[in-house]
Amino acid sequence: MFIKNVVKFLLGLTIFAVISLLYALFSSPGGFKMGGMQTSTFDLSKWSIVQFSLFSIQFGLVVFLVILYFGFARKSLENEVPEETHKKIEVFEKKYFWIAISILLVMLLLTVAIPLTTNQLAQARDNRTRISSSDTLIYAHAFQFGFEFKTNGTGSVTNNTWMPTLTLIKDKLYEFVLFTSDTTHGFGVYSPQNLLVDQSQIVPGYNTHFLMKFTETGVYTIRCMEYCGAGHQIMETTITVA
Amino acid sequence: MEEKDFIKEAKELSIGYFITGILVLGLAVLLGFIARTSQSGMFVISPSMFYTLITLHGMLAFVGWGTFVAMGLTWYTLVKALNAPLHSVKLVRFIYWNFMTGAAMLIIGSFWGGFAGSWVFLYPITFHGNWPAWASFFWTLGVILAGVSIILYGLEILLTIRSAGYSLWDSWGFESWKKSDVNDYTFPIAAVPLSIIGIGMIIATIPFAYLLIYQLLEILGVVGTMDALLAKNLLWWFGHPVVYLILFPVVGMIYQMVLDNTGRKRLIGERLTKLGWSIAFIVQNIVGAHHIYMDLVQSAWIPIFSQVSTYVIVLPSVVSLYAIVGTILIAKIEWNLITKYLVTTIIFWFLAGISGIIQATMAFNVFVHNSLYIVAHFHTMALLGLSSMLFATGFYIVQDYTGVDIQNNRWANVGFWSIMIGALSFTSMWFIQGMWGGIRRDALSTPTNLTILTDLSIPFMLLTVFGILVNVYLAIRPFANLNQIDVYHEEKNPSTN
Repeated sequence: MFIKNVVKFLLGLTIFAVISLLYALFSSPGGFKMGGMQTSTFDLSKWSIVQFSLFSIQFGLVVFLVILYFGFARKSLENEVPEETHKKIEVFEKKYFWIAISILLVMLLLTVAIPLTTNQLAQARDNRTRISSSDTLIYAHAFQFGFEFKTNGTGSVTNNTWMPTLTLIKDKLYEFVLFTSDTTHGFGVYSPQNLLVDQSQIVPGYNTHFLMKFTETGVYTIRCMEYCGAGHQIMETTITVA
Repeated sequence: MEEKDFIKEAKELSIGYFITGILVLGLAVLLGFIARTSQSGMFVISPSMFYTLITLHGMLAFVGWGTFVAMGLTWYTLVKALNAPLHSVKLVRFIYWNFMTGAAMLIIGSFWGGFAGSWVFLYPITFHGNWPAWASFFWTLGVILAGVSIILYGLEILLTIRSAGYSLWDSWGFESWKKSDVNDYTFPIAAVPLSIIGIGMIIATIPFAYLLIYQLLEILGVVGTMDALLAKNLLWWFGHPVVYLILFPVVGMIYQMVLDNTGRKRLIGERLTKLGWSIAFIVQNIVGAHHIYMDLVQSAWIPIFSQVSTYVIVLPSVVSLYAIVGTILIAKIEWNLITKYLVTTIIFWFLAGISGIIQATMAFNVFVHNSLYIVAHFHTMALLGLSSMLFATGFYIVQDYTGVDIQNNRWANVGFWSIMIGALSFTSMWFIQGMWGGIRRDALSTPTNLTILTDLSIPFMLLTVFGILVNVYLAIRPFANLNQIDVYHEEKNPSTN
């Protein structure tokens, strides 16, 4: 009986969902249109060591697993191991149980050390000891859908009005005070090569202190890294580093 | 052998959830495909429409398919493992219809009201969008109903275990702490992850329900604004454990399927596995803060604690993989569609786990947080990995219940390979885009110097959509003629009809 009710319901649900989707597409203010493919360039030589490490781990594993799947999985499943081997495995497990537990515990203890060495944590700690130097302090206001900055004479900036972009000095440590006047935003820093190099979230009601040293000259792009509404995709600005 | 009535009943319930969920998945992948083609510039929709589609895509695919079907297949797995009836079949039916009412509200809120807060609708985005308040109201209420179903789901599991006469402590893996001989274990291993997710979901959902109800009252103008950082913590307190609402039942299904297919009573390394699960019981609800490493306003101890607890939760996965692979390697299993999906789940569970550890490590997280790398990670886990097991178990039960042969249907293999080739390819492109800093939930696929990969992913996405629609067809088709199923049951077991 339950199945019969479900089947009838599914018929209604499908019709309702399709009509709703069509209504949404046709009533959308921008409507929809057919277009061509976009073109872009993709230059691997611009990748940093982080990107290469992630890439190697990820795709090395894919290749390994594909080989495992085709080479061993099927064969292993269809072969049967003799009964005495089952018993030997049980004895082996019982004998080495505590050794396995000890190894796992040591591995877990080692992982505790990992977060203590990360840059992000260093930054989080630095958040408690502010730079408090007026010439490197920058207020960054995030809003739907843009950023604006205010400084106290940093770099080539000479007044205190809100500005859509900034010019800063290479290799100098800056303290950004990030805040938002509406919803949550992100503060993603992209290098002149368009690689994400650092980021922070900007939570409503809080001032986030974000330390950043720009190590290259050129134009950095700041992009919103948290979905914030219909104009999220255009929420960006630039910082020129001289 | 005659099938027990309560197993048949649980099977019917599971099938109801499965065929509903797979249909929802069909809709969800269509929405995802439209959104991706818009990013590539092939079929352009407005940014508002794009965000509406990905909002509903996320909710339907993750909650309407993954979570809902994992919940549904839990009923069969639990009853089979315990060899005991469900505590309340009425409650299980209520959970279904309550969840469906919530799903209908989500569709109305998004398609008719234009709600586009993303499927996590990070507070306070609900109050800063270009959609009407009634759309936010419908959406929030829809999620509340789904949440109620999830809490009742957890409760039903625990009540079923208790009414079958088992100790809850034993069901959470603590048997392994006091008994060294696996032959003395009484609680079936396949039900351990189910019991753990049962209690986990109750603990995780109640604080999140507070956030939702508060938000609902704020929409109605009854209360003022909430602290956004507190809201974010409440969201992720629930938001990460809910991933386990798919993973843990899937692991239970794997255990049950491996034991059924190998004819063994115990898994290899069962004591170690139960020990791992007892640790999962302790830490499953305290890992969510790894989603908010980039919130530098939080106290420093929170990310440190969260990174370590995330590494700890890897333990049950590691020992489970060892136990499952070990058990199937020493036994003979027939190679068919079901076992193919089973092996696929194991492989992508492992692969997605590695990318999960990478992004849960703060030093890497800064480069990939909110990038397409995250999207690639959870599609590898949820679509290639966990969905494979949901397909396997769902097909297995539907085939058994209806008598319609699915695994030897040639379209079944077409579906399998289309999903595997398609999804592995497009998720790989997301991984690359994410490593570069390609932003998730972005109507233009920013930075736009990566759009070549967006374009390249379209044919593979189309292949995946095709494969999933084939699976939808295979799952639904046996129910086109309900009378034929009645006849099949009568022939199979005349005494019960």
